Amino acid sequence: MAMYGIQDIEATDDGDIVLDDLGDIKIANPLRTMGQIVNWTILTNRGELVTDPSFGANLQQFYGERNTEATRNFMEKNIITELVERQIVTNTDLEVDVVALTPHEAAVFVSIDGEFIDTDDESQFAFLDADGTLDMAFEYPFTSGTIVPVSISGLTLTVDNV
Amino acid sequence: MLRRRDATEMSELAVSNLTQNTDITYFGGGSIIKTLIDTMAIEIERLYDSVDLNISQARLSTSSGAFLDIIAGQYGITRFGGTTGTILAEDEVVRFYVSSGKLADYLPSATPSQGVIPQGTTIQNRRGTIIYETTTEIAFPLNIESVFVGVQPKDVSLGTANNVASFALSVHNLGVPQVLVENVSNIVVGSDPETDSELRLRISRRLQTAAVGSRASVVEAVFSFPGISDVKVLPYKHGAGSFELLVVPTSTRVSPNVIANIKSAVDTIVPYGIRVSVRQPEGIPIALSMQLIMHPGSLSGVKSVAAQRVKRTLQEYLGSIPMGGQLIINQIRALALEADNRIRDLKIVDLNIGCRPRVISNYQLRPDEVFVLDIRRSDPLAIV
Repeated sequence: MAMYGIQDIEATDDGDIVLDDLGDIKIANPLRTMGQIVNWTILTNRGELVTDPSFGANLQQFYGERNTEATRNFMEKNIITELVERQIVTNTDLEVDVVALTPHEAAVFVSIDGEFIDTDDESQFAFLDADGTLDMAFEYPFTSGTIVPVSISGLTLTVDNV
Repeated sequence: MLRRRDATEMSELAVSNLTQNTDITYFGGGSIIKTLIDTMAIEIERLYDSVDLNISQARLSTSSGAFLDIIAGQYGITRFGGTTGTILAEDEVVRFYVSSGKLADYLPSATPSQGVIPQGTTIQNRRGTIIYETTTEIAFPLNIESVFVGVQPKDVSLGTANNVASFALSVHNLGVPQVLVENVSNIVVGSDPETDSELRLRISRRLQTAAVGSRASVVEAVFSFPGISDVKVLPYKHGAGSFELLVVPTSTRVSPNVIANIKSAVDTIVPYGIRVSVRQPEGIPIALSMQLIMHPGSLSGVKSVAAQRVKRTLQEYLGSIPMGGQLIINQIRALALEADNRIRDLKIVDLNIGCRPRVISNYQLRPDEVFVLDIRRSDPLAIV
């Protein structure tokens, strides 16, 4: 289990910059920073980030595909490859599961098992489990190809392994 | 022009500053701060380019294209768009002539008392790369051997492509071999659209010429016409309050039309009551006859070819003597002998300068004189 002390400026889930009580740009704690990185990695398609066109899990490429196990495995591989090859997280700490929800929708679960130096968790969409794991979930409709983050704490989706 | 930083350098500097001065430690993939930095760096890089461009285009020495036109506009100057190489009959540049007999013998007209050269008759160089054509039907009296015609380029596009050296136009389409054609002086009245360098020079001169009536403004007005290589301003030529402009052409002659236009242009910038006259160097007619002595056994056809080469060489030599230059007989002999190695010797039979026979010796032109071929003769360079 690796130790993560990375810090970035804090943004909302929509990407707006967050200010602290003094009006300064708020700096996120390592947990929140990791959540933001995973969030933007999964939400970003190749070519969308002008300053780094190769960045992103590129899940848009599965738009219109059939919701099969093979497709979901490719989606998992895309996410793992992007997060590990960019040395955002170690392979042993990362677990990605893509499961079918309906015939046209899949759920993406990302779990990072690590030691976060600053455990202050004010995340809106991610939280640190009691066992020290960062869990995040996303919903992927194959009919639109647009992945949407889902708060795990409010998850009401029915997992159906079709 | 500025100390320029590219986006990568600015991004690296920003990351370095933030690492040292804030708690931010992550600048890898998905980092929001890195995305902001890179975006700003790209924009600032573009700003550098924009500032560079604006600074360079705001200054005369580095401005170009449309930006230079804007600067020119501030001084009331517009870029010259170029001219075509149209020649009038009164310019006395292109002439049809015959070596023997009268011109009308070969070019008769339906009207009994005159001969005619049809409109659209083409005149071109030997390679056919430059083609002119007559602008009107030219009627001429029965008793003349040569007639000047007005011509314009067949390709009327602007520019210097239709400019041609003297005697280069020698082929016509009249279908009468006895009738010959030539351009007795360079045709340089076509000009290309003004380049950035030329316009820049004109703008810089404008500061000096802003006060009209100055010597610089007069010279500037003359140089705005094509075919001018120099101009000499001779003050008090006709007494106080007068001056004369001696216009030196790039060829041997300036078109009378251009001279008239120069006069009009200068009249608009000289003070009221000042008398200006414009003239070009005085053309001194020259004609000579030369006898070629060929190596034994040379065929008559060989001699004819050699005679043509000698003639062309002499035309070029006479055209190259500058205003106030000197005619050197030894040079004529040397050039003629070099023109064709089958010539064993030659003899200058006679030399006419200023329409008068001269002793065959060197001749020094006055400072405002230039040689022109004696076109009153049917063949001013007779090679026998």
